[in-house]
Amino acid sequence: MNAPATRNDGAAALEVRGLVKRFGQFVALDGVDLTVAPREIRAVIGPNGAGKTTLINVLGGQLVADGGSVEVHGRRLGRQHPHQVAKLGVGRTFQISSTFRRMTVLDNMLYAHHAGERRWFGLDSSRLRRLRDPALADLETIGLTHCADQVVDDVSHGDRKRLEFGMVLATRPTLLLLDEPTAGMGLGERQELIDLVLAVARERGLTLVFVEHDIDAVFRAAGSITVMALGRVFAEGTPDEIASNADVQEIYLGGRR
Amino acid sequence: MAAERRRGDAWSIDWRLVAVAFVVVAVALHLSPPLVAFAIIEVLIFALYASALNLLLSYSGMVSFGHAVYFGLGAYGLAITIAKFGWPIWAGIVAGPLVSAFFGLVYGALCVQLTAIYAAMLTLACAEITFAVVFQWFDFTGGDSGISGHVPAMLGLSPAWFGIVVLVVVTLCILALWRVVHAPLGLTIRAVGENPVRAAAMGHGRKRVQLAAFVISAFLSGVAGTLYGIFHGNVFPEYVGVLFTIDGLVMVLLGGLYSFGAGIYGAIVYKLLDNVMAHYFEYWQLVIGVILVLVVLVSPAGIAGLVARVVELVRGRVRGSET
Amino acid sequence: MLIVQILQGLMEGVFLFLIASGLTLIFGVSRIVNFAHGSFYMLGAFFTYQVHPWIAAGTPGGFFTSILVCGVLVAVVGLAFEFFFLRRVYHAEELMQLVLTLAAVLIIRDLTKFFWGLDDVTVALPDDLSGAVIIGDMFLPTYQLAMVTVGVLVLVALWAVLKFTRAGIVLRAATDDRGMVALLGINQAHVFTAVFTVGSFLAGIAGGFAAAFESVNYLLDARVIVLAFIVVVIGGLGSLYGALFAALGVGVVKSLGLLWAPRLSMVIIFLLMAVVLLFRSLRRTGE
Repeated sequence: MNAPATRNDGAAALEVRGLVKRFGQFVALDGVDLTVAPREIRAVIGPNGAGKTTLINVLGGQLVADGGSVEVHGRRLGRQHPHQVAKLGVGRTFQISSTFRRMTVLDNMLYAHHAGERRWFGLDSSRLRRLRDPALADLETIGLTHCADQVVDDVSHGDRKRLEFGMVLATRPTLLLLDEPTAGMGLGERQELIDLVLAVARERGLTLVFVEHDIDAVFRAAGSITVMALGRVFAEGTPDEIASNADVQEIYLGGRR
Repeated sequence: MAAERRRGDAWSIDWRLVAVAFVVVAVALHLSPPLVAFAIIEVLIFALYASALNLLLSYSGMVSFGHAVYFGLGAYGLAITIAKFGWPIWAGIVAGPLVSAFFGLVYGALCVQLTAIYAAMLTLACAEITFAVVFQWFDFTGGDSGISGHVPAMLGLSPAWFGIVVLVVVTLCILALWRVVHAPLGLTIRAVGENPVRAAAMGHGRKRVQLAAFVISAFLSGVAGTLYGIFHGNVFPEYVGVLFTIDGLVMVLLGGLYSFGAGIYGAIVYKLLDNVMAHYFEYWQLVIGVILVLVVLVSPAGIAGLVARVVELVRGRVRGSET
Repeated sequence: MLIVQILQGLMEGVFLFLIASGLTLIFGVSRIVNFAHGSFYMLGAFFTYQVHPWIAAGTPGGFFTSILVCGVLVAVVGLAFEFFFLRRVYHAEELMQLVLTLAAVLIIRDLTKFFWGLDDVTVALPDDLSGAVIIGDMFLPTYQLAMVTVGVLVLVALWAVLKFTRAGIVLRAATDDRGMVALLGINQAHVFTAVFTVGSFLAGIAGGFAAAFESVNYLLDARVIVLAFIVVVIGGLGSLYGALFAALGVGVVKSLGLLWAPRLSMVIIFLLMAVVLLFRSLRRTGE
């Protein structure tokens, strides 16, 4: 698989300034600032309703912000549609895994490779045959070879989560947004997936921003942590700094540590 | 829960099946009396029309409540270019499907701005407006008396030989549709149709993909309509009317959503019921209604699903007896 | 002349609302696009034709009673349809719901043909309702006034139920967010069944009223379902008040269309819907 596209070294991978998003009266994001360096692995944590998923949705283009700015590798995101954001190299997974449930696992992956070529048209089916081997190889990597010919609807929750992650990778993003990648998974599965995510991100030099509720996973995986509360960034730092931050312990970690 | 293992859409054409079907239909056309040949021709034409509609329903995530427009405008394109513009017949035949594709492009561009039932209602609005224009613009479309005499019915051929022409055209069109569905474009259409949010997050916007599907579907419906216009040697407003739309929809739903063969199986069963059963039982739509209920409750994959299951069973048994 | 026509349109609008309210309520709560709604309306009309000679005997009281009875009968049919069939596809693909309601349309239409034949049937109005009220130079048929009264009563009743009762709170919660119902500790299936039954009842009484001024035949379902869907779509699916305004608007446009361009009145309504839909989509993306 390809190396990430070369990028302007001066720019941060993700630069968010004063981001605001309202739903009617409710302010979901209330001036969020966030800077993520290239190849950084950043966890976003916070209590329910802190605005984490809203943040991911605005970054992915699924929601349009009411104020503030977002830059990806120095390129300003305005009111782009999600598919335009994706073309800038932003890949994402959803909290509830989003795949093509009527297609087979292999067809899902095949589609991901096709989408990764940044084309939508094309009547030459030999191109799809060429993509078959790389798609199978990817299924091997994420451990889904056993159900390649099964319709996604019939595979387990955890397999769907892994498939979604693998598909997003196949579109060769440079910035990867994961919204609770391990939600609803068993303990063993969870660790496996986090290890997989880390390995791929390091190998490909991806910038990773992930929202996660599993605190152990966060402290194991993240290079730095952003704590959100009430639509704002409450604290930011290395795992050690966050762990020893009294305020964070107060509002979020409680008596955990 | 032990989920039944379902296989995805097949990727390769079963050429033997195509060849056998082709030969069987061709022979049947020549052996059967004209009335039966007419019925076969009708089934062929509607198999193409319903397959074109099926591209929207099963794959692109759209529902058209006005697809007769693209069917009927094929026949009108043929008739008007010949009767009103004085074009030669072959040019009219080429023009028919292109007129349908053009309207598919215009109406489709409007309809893809919306989603779900809103988009479907807009297809209905486009269809009703078109029908009203066709019905009332007497000087251009012949109004409710339509146009006839512009082309000899069945091009002057015998039912059997015209049937062969239709068979060849329909087979080629459905094979082309198969290629589209299984080409990169088709994969995009299926993805966008099934989960537009996921597809968008991977770089594929919904609108232009759905528009492409809509135009292809309109074009192939136009081919079917043009054939129908030649078959009868005339055209009436009913060809763009709501009954032809409902016929197409029921065929696809009967045939079984989310399978390529839905239009073909649906057209065969629907026309069979229409032509045969209607003679003996006045309330054949009730029978179709009951079949649809059974389809939903027993076999959501419709007749296509049943056929697939039977084929699997037969193959399994053959394999079983070999070992 | 113009005012009479507008008034006429508003009255038809109230009638349209009677039909569309059930459709939009059902969609709002269960996300079912119920094509059989027009068929229930048609059943209401035929039931009234059948029942009213036994009950009515020419009095307004008997007439209204028979409509009410038929509304209940149609509600029972709707309840059975929901309970035995629709309930199984709530979690299936949306198109499966379409197949099922379309099947109901075909079945009910052929059953209607079987029981009542192909010819128009009519329901005789009681004498007390067949007159007209004359205000100035305006001529308003008593029957239509009675119908408008019923329409307004239904509207007020729906509003009061939604606003003040526990059932109404559940219903509003269900329209906004289907998960909410579960949080309120209420069986979602019961809510769906109840709403479908009430919606069918509304379609039934609307059909009963129509029986007295429309020619009733087996094609009534198609005529009505299209108009009802236009109203619901213009008003915004699931929105009761949207449906009210859309119904009044469509009624007036239809009425004025009949005055100025009788052959194009349906086309104008479709154009209206297309413009509303496209305008709304523009505004949404332009946000």
